Amino acid sequence: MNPKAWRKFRANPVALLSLGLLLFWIALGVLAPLLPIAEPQTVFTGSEQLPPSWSIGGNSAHLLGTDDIGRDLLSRLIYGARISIGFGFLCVLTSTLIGGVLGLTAGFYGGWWDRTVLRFVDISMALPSLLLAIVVVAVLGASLWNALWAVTLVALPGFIRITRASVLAEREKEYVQASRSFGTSPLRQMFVVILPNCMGPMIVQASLGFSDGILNMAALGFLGLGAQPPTPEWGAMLADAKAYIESAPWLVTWPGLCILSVVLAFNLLGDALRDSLDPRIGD
Amino acid sequence: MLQFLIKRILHSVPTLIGVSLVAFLLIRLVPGDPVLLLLGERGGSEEAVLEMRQNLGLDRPLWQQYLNFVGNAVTGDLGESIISKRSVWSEFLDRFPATIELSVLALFWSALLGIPLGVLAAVRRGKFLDHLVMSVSLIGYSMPIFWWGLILILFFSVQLGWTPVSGRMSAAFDVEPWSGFLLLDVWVRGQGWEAAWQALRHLFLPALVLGTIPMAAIARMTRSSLVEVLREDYVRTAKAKGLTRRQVVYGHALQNALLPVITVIGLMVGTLLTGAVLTETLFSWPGVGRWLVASVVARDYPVLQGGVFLLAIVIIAVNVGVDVLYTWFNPRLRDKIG
Repeated sequence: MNPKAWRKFRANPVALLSLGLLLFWIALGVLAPLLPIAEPQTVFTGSEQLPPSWSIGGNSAHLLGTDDIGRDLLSRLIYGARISIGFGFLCVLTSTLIGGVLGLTAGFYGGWWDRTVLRFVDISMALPSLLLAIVVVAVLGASLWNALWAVTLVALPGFIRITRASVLAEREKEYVQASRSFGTSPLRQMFVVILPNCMGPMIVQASLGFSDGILNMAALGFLGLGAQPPTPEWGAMLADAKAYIESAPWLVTWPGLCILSVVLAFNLLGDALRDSLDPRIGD
Repeated sequence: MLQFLIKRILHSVPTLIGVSLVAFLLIRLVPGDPVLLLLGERGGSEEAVLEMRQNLGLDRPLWQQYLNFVGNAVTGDLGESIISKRSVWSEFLDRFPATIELSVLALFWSALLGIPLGVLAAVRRGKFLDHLVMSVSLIGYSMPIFWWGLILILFFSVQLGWTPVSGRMSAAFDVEPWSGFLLLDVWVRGQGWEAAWQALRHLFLPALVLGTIPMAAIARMTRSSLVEVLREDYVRTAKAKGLTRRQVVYGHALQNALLPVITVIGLMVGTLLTGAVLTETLFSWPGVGRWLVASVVARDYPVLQGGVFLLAIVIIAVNVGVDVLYTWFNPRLRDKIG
């Protein structure tokens, strides 16, 4: 990010707030094994369905209460952050790499390769994202890792389109023509000359891709097509909690708030990045 | 205009072919013998396996199998469900109206609320109300709707006891399907207000949940579009000739600002179907989304294959429709096409 964009970003309180929230979640997830909390799989027999510690019947040993078989909810939520944010990151990483290369080469070379890639984009956009992910899971089988491939495939079209569009815009500019006239190799032109100038839109897309990825992974978990029990994944936890909505409503409230806060933070960050990286929007 | 319509339809043929390929390959990509997959977990007798292998033409080359699949699909033959043994097409037709009814109601309230909210935010740009509307819509946009649905159930059903938790209709009413749209059928079958009220009570929460993200998207789009239009020269002219603010916004700017909103509403169809998968599962709503999820869990591949194919066709058709509508509402484009 160039200094001017960073200045604009820093002056935006919402941007800093969302960044702070995300760093907090990431720190919690990374440090989870060092925190004074129970293991997410440990069952406290006799402490099933304890409400949060501040309500009647709560126990200070389990700050946010326990689930239906007596596992500590706070611990499961914190370990859930590792899964949601970790897999969200993997999804963004793989779809940026694959989508970036496809979009870059399609925009750079044009011709039949461009048409093939665009056709792929068209087809995958004819199906709603979650439906396409469900199809992939149906083929591969329901598991956390398969859900990752499904969600990555669904995220690809967005990355391809964004990268291709910025490459098309850059390709005919003078600096690219100049480097071509020096005899720069196509590979170097693509990755060294053009790519750095397409980073702005790609960074924004990555941030928004994070929130989509996390939401889709959680949705698959909720449908029973992603993470399988007893993995402490937020979506799968919600699916479990559904049956106890009357007797243990806190099991429903917290995992959803976690998903919402992370997704909201990434969306806010994406908006803020777009504002600060877009040269048309003044200071 | 007709010419444009035909051109637009032809344009979506390659995508249709691609989608049919995806649906066709679906069963063949699953590890294992497709015949055993089609016969279900318990398998079948030796003869049943042989017969099905022949029926499916699995002994023929792949491209012939594909042509066969497309030929059958065109005549409405998408195979039959492993679980119910009924044809996929009639299973789809049984459930599709329930999904449409839910989606239409969701889209209806989201546009009814989203457009005025967007206008309000645009007119008060930079003021408190604008920030409030935009914050609320960003939260709506980031909402994991399966959780939102649970929270609403917690409030409306568990705490207040106002709304039912699942299903389309209370057991007391048995409405013989006519169109499949309950809100219509209760009148056709002469079951009157009480039945219609029950149907509405069942629709309320699912429609509220399903419309949340579209509402947020429509509000944001309306705002940004109207803000843009309010900068145009003709708006300045309208102001300069002494029209009131109200006349300028509602008489001149809004019509043009709503054009991109139509496109966004069209693009919402995909969002609605994604949402329908989650909403229907949550509320045990007997629609297409829940049907497809159940088919994955039960490994009912013909249902998944046929259902995905049919939904893709619906989405492509809606996209064509939206393009045509957009062109129709936009005189500049209409005249160009002639």
